[in-house]
Amino acid sequence: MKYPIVPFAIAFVFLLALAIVSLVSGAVSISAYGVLEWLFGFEAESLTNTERTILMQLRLPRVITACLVGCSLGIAGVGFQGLFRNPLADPYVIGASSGAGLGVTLAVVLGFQASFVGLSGVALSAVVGSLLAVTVVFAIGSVGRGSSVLTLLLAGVAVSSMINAIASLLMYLNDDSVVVILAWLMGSLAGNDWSIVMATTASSLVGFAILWSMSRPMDVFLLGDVTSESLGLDLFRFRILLVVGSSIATAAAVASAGIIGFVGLIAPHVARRLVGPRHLWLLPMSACVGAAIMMVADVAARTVVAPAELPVGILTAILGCPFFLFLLKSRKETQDGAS
Amino acid sequence: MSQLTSKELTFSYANRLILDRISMELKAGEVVVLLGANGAGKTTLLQSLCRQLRPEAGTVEVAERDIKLFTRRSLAQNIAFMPQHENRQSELTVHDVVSLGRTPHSGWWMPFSKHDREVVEESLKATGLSEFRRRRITQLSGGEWRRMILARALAQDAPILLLDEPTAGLDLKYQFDVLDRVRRMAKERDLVVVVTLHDLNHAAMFGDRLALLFNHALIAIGTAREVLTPSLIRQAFDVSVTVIDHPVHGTPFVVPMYPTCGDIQRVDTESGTTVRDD
Repeated sequence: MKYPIVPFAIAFVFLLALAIVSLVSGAVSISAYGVLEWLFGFEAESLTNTERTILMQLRLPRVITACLVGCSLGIAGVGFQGLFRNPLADPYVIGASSGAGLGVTLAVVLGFQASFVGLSGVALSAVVGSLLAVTVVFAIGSVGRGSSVLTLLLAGVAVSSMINAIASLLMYLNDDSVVVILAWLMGSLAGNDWSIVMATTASSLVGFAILWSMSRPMDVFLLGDVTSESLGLDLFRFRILLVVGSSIATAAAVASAGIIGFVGLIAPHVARRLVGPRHLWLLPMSACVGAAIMMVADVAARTVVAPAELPVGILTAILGCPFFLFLLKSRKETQDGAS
Repeated sequence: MSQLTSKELTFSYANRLILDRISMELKAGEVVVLLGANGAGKTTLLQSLCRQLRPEAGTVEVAERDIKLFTRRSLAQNIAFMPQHENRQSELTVHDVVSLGRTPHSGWWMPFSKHDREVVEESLKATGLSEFRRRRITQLSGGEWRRMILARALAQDAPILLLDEPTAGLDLKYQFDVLDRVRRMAKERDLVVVVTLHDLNHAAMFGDRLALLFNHALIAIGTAREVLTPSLIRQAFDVSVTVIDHPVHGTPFVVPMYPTCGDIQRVDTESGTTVRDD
């Protein structure tokens, strides 16, 4: 399969259909016909003004954000799984999640109010927190000769535990802020407007560009450190770029939707089944799969207890966990069958 | 002109000396076989020659230029290294992995050129892997996998080829095949080939020169006749051998003298009768 056109064509059609479903559904239901007309630039006379405002100001930015958050988590997942050569790694294993959590906690506790390119102080603190945590993990993990993958993974676990403890301590001491912090940590796409769409688009594009430009070295890196070096890869530079690209993508997701687990873990697995392990195709496919998962989760979050709404992060975990266990089981069976 | 030179190369790990002042000069078109007992430092020497390991003293030069001055990529254009082990847990196909041998030439972004694809095809053919091209590397046997990483090293198309036990795990036909192919390529393309082997007779047949490591030092380097002597072999491997001429090729042929156990017989050369050492 030289160019996997079919899987990408299917993914594109599927995403488009999901986007339409997502635009139609919610507390106020809008006719699919009207949405289609509106989307493709017709007058859409069947829609009321209120419906148009809902579409333009609430649902479209939300659908696009869901899509971008899913894409970012999907590619960040590929990035971190590549970095660790471990299919169980995800954007949060390396400490990004805990760092973001501590950033959020600090911002809420200290009442940090600044904003930048449409992102709130809390979102910014989450991004800074996750980047700092990843930097610390990487700095500790790469000390010494031939920074091994295991060292990085262990450093991630250790640093995450400490950061989580600090965040818990802060919440314990400031129990009046706990609800705000928890709402953020559970992940949500509510209240995203066009400025956030722009900021998320920019950062996820940068993350994607960095990672996609490294698809061939990422293929090489699969074969191990010794082989990568003998094929001309400067491991230190490569790892830093990989961490930077994946962290930017993670930050894009965290800043606009809070902490959403499992998407970064599952999307690469599904994508690998569809287009194989080569990163040239794996990265864009993982982005598509991530986007699809996020949109499904978002529709569910909005409709299951409508007119109220569930935190989307809880849903991705509830939907994602059994799915992941199923993947694990079928993977084990194929391996047993092969041996 | 010497193509690959090591000068007083010294390496230690955790305060344990692994390589003790190794100096060699290798010329283009020459196949040099590294011999030595387990732990003598063969793999460490190969890895130091391609800057996988940084020596604590001494230098390595490629075409009289210190390898420290090369970028990783330009070093990979000059030296192809075939490791003994690498990560096999990916779903890549044989063709994918062999194609990655072209990375030093194509870089990170450039699509593979027609020339790249031709080189990959040649390497697959040379290692008898053409029909395995679509197979996932997780499904290869040990021998097929080894031929694949040899194919990748060949696809790297470098003037210096360092092969760490390329014949381990191969059946006899492919051992001969691989060694013969590598030797012919060395002659045709004027390559420097350094290869570690365990079989002394393969070394005698295949190497232009043999380098014998013992106790982390190079104790002999020269032709098979100079290096494969009973006394040097006893020193390096702690076994008794007798060296005869190969009945067909005339090269030195090492015949092990098995330790005399009660149930092993030997031929009494004078009387021609079978006797039992008790």
